[in-house]
Amino acid sequence: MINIKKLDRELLSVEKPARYVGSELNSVIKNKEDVSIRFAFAFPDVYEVGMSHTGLHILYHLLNSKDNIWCERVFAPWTDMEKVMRKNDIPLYGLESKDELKKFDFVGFTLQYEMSYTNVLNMLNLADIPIRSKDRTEDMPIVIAGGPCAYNPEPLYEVVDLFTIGESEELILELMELYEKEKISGFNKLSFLEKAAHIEGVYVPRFYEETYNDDGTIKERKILNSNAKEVITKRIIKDLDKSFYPEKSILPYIDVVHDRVVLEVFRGCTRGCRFCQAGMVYRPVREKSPDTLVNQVESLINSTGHDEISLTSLSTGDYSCLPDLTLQLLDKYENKNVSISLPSLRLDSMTFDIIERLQEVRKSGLTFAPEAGTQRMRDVINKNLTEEQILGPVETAFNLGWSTVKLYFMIGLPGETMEDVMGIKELSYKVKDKFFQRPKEEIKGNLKINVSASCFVPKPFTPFQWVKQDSMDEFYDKAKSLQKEIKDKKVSFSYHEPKLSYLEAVFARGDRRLSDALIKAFEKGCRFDGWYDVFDFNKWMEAFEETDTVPDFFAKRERELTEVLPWDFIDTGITKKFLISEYNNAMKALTTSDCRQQCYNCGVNHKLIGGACPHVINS
Amino acid sequence: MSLIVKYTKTGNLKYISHLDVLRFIQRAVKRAGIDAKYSEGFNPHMKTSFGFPLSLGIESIGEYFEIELNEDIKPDDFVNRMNVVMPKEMQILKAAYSEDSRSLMARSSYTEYLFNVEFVNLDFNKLNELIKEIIETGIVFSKQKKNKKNKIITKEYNTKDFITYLNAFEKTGKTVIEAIFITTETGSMKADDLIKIISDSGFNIDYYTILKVDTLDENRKSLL
Ligand code: SF4
Repeated sequence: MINIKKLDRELLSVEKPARYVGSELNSVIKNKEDVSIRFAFAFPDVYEVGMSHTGLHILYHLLNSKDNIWCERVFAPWTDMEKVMRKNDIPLYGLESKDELKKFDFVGFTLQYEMSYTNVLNMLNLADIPIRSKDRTEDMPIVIAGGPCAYNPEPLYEVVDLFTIGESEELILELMELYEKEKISGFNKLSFLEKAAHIEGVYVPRFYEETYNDDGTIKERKILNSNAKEVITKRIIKDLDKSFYPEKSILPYIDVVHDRVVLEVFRGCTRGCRFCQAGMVYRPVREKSPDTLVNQVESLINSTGHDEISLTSLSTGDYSCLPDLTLQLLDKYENKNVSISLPSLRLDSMTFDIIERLQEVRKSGLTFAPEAGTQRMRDVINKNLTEEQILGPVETAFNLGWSTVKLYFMIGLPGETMEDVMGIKELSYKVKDKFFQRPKEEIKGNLKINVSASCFVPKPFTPFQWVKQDSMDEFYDKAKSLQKEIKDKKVSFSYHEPKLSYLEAVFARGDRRLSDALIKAFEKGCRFDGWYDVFDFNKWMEAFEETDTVPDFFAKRERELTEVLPWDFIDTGITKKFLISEYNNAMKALTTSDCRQQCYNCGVNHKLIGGACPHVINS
Repeated sequence: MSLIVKYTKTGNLKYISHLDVLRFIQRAVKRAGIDAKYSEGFNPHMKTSFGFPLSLGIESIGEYFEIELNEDIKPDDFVNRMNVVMPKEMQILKAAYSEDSRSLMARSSYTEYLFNVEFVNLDFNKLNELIKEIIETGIVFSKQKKNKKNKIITKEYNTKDFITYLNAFEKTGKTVIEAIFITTETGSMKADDLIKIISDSGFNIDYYTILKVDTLDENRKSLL
């Protein structure tokens, strides 16, 4: 255990000390002597962000459901706490036992966004664990990582011993079983990693080597260890109704980002938006049944006393039993002061009588995500929405009494012209007109339209994985022109910082050669890069320079369709052929319909399901 | 019907702020399935009221809240049902229906503390002299405060206006100080200030913990 008195002396000097002490209701305390595997679930961001992440709650309770495993949590200490820890020699520790991380068998990071990579490094360093896996001795924890960013694991290849690709509820237990066995027969890290490499979905980067052409592109990947597979296939959970879901969730004392019961209703998405990595890599769609969900809601409400239920997924409105489920939940909870919210709801597909009863939505205003301002641009990105399909629901919402509307757009989409950019303004003004084009007596409330634009980041495993990102100058030009043009008291405009999106783009499609720059940036003090007030762009540029890394090569370069991409060895189920055909359609502004109506053979049917996707209506 | 409830806040929960405790307890009431009264209106909230906030970093075995209920529940049942859904660091000790119509804060006149102090090279006689001075002649100390205009001003206070009882003794190598503070609405002298006064008087303190033992009424009796 770390020195508790030392910690106690300092904790009152940091912001929100409750971030660092654990002891929440439903957190799990076990007897060290009774377990053989100590697992630290590491979330490389602050407590409040990490505790709002559903995956953490699932894996935490899943691992703890096994008698031989004790899973604890650890988050990135905020900058004030880091200073205190370094000054007083307090190593990073597991919140439950307060044991140093170094004593654990596993440290498992979840990689939710690229901008958390320096935090991964910093957390290892604070735990006194060497950053590079080759510098870690046999008695040190095995560092594993999973989550959406693991679909391109290469920038972290030197740091992480083993990646888990895809959904890990089953995989993680197989890994633990293997570890337990290996431990009994005399543990050796290499032999463990070799055996682990045979588990589907496991990627051990040290078993591969990459060579490059003169122009900097990848020449080939060589296998260095006979246990390593050529292709790593992502894991999926076939039946979500049968899959583990915790009956309890840890109840934080302090306000966290999502202070409510969060329940995923289905995984995957059929919309096929071409910019969206999640929409591609989480295929196929798998729904939970309303019965399962109602039971899960009940036990979670009972174990936490939360007063809000949030039904999430990539596109909750597409859930086939949504009316049935929401009405069941409303009937059950409306009179118990429990409210229901439906984020990521596409209002074109939603009946308003349900929304009307969801008062939580009313309070926070309505969100629409047209993503692009012109029809042509929306066709390019395959956001299958016409102007009428945007303005129609907006009008309905106004008629029902809403007056605050958020509109989300992207700038820098492939093939975007200034006309497309200005389309954002025009569409926003049309939304405004809808409000005032109603009979005078019906116009109530104070109209507020918040328009926000994010900078497009091309992601692996999307039809846009080959395209170049706009330069920062182009982003600023576009954003600033919009800022100049949108001059209306009712309409406000804000944009996401291009520098952050640039760095995100570098790492999203980066390869092994970014490792040195990443470590350098960490050494220079980069942390919490996703937090704009902490983010230090200049330090990053220095780090690239000092390590002879050209970030533009990763962000701003158009790739040939034939180029070997750093993530090509991972199989998400979706074929490259499908991605190329979608890329070609995009260039011609041709749309592909929602694959609930018609299957486009993206590949997950043959490769992951072994048959047609069950959700296709015409199959 | 208004129920007065006494509870603890120990261990790591000493780092949880007053507002967070408030929300946590309201959720516990829900988990326990107790039928509490809610305010009317668009955004109804549970009708509870709490005593003076406990400073962050202090443990307590004498915290109070008051709750209005729709159901006629036996106080003992309330205690049992709540404790099932509360962590071990926050347990309900007692509950009773109240006949006093004054608010919890209005009833709080004194606060009793226990300080566990680890001194380096302590001269116990000197400590006793200091204690005498603190309650008899009083020691003047100053604190920075924000005034109504949000300006920072320095104000002076005298310990004898705030502490009515102070006694130190040694127990298994450690020094224990018992204290009774007068509860003031402004919270002008906090338990931590006493530690600061002792260390400013030349005592070397390595480590300390503070436990609030109870809130006392005007007759120096426990509120419950
Ligand atoms: S296989 Fe067909 S139906 Fe299934 S996700 Fe791919 S395109 Fe959609």
